[in-house]
Amino acid sequence: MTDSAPEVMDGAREMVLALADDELCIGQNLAWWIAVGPFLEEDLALTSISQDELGHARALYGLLGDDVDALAYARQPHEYRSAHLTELPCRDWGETLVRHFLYDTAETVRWAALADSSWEALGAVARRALAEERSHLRHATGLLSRLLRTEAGRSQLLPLFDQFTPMACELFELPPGCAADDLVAAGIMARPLSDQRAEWQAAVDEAVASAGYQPQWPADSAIPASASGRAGQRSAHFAALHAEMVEVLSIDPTAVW
Amino acid sequence: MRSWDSMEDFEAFLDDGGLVEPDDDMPDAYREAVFRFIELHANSEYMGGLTERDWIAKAPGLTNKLTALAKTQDEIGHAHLLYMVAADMGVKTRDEMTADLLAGRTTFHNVFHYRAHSWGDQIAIAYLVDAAALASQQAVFKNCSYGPYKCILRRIIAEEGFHMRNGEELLLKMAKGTTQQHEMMQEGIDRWWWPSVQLFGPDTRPDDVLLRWHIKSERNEDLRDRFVQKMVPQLTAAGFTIPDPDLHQDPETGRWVSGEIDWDALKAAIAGRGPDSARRLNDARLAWDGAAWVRSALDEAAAVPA
Repeated sequence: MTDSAPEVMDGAREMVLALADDELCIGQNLAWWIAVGPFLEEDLALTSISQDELGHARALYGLLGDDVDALAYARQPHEYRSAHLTELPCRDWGETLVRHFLYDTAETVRWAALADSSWEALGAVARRALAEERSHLRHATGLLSRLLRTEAGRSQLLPLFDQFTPMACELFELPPGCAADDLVAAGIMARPLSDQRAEWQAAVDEAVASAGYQPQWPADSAIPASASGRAGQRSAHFAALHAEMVEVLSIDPTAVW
Repeated sequence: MRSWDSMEDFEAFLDDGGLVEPDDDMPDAYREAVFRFIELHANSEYMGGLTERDWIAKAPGLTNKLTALAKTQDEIGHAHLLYMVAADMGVKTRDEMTADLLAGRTTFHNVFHYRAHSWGDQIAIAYLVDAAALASQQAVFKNCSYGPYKCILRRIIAEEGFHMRNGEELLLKMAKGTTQQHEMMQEGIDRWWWPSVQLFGPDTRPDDVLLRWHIKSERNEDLRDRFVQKMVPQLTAAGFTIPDPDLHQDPETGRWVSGEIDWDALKAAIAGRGPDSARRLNDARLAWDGAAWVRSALDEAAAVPA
């Protein structure tokens, strides 16, 4: 544990909770693809990534308490901090690919900024995750670059960038009560989030430039702070996602499964 | 590439423990029979993945979710390997096998024509179906004459063994759990017992070429009997009952004797008239057709230099 001031650590824990909730929702949504992807190799790839993301969620919740399942599943909806992008079901494979690309590009930047964290346990999680994230990103960019060379790929995928990029900016926001400047000053996070977001946008721009496309970036997150996932507002998709996660658990909360 | 002058020579080679490789000039009847067998196995792993996927999203807790996902991913991985080995035999391409499966022209195991109704069913699948499948696969692996199949069966068996142990562990949790958990597990056993027993198939015919050509090494009835002898005491000890009112112990041998097996249920399921056959194939078709643009765009991209 770092020796940062208690209020800084409270903010750091809020940030970790947000990251963990992102991973939980993404992992849950990616798991849906088992046996129904475009081809078996892709089912295997997406569900490996799903397992990695759920593993990251478990490691992050583990930084916050011993009862990982209670943290992951037993909170009220307004207590979750997930970005709305991660709550989207994306039952269309093209949607899943674009979200996967935006998310894993963002994660690579986010984890890199935490890899040398003064919160040593967080740094260890970040370094392990970063190594996995690079292979996720290879998978996403490999498919994206090949598909964007085709007319069908461009017409299916590029409109989704317009749809998702404003929402995806929320990945670089922190919950209220979590002062990013303090986290940087305390060495918990290496760089300001605005820097991280700029690096992410540049990486996204570069990946789609070959298709003659320029995403329109909002000046700030398109989601007003009061309606943001980070502030505890859940998207329309969360209720169904959460109901599925806890369907068996809620049969009997005292049971050991 | 090896070739044989006659079927007698080929069978003598097999009887000596010879392993056939894809580029060998194997007899057409052998190629066809082994291909059909591997294709059935591949289809079954794939449809098994579809059967199990209903409960992955709902699996209770992160550890169970990760384990359930990894298990089903193993099944899809098996399907992937098996389709590749089958395609190498030169009878059908992977796409042709998929098309035949989705059109109902080829079959998959009876158990994957049923629906998993609860988390208890999901455990019953791991415990009963995976144990039955493992026993069958071990019997094929033992003496398998087709080299590439034997090679991937080694890996499949290792993973199925893990699934079965996971099933045992989860079943014991349910056995020691709340009344509701116990009931849920009993219902799962009630639903999956008979399909699992039927999975071994009717008694093997004496002229079964799969036995003669060392694909199968044991008769269906022997494998089925061993399954019953193993499962009945385990389930009973855990406090569960077997949904077979005629099940009894032979007073002389002490062996468990099943009641009459409803082979019509097996035939109906395999013919695509099982309780969940239509939904299973429909899910697979929707997924396959819905992503057709991805496959054709990737083919197109592969044909054009970057």
